[in-house]
Amino acid sequence: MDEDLQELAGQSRYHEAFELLLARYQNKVFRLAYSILGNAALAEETAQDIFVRVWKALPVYNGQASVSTWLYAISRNACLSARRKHAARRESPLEETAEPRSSDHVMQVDVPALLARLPEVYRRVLTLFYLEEKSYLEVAQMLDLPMGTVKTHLHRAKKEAAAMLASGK
Amino acid sequence: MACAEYEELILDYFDGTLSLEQRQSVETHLAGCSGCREFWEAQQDLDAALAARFSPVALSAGFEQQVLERLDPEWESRRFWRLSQVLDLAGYLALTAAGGYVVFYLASLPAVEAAFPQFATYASWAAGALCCLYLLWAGIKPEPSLTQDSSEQFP
Repeated sequence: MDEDLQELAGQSRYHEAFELLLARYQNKVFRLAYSILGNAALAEETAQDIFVRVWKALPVYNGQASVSTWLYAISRNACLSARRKHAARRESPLEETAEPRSSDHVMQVDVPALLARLPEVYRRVLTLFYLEEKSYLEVAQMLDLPMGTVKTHLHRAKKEAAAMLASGK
Repeated sequence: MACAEYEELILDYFDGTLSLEQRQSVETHLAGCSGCREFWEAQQDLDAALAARFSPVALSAGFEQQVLERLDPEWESRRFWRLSQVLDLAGYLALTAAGGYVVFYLASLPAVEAAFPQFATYASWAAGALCCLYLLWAGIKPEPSLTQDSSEQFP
């Protein structure tokens, strides 16, 4: 899928390669950052940092891993660093407050509170699964997990969340 | 099929991975099982709430421009990196040619020709070697400021 990007990078046509990569992956990198950081403003700031790192690293990309694998690895590292930095600066949680914007029925479910009670890995998988329009494959690639593990985490997260909902009623 | 297995199918149902036949099997089971129906309703609420929560999460419109603005100085310097290499090469070649002209001028003087008969030959070899050394150096010279972030872990 990214043969064109690999070719451009291989020919040292970094400007063209970067412009293509930015256009193709900006939303995915942002969504990955959001699933790890839980805050849209911080995710966007971190996504900018990620692309600056990618620009600097593009000449040393050797083409052994696919572009997406390489980019997601850089993204995950950057997000984890951002998370640590942010946690050191402030003690309040990163997750945004509730923004109910749907029907009354749906508004009964406090999603941020529910997510906050789930283990980190479940929260990340569940968030990314909905951001990526329910694609196991995308989540697996972005988090570097086997598809079976994504499905297992997702189902456990949903079962735990459903149990919390039931106990809260 | 036991209720635990139906729970997995219900989860798959909301993940959108069930075949039509499996969906019908789930719906038939739900009609006669209140426990699974309760689980279904909880998953339905959860699915709708998660979809509503995450659908508005999107990148702002000016993101691409902001990234390019942050890269601006290095972006331009790298764009002209090859041009500067070509200009370097042209400069060195011009310098070598000027040096060669001086050498051949000196070699053509009768006094020098009489004292050092091989002067022009040795000078030509020296000029050629200098050009080769420069081309070798230009070929292996790394692109500037590309390895600033050496702490990054790459796959």
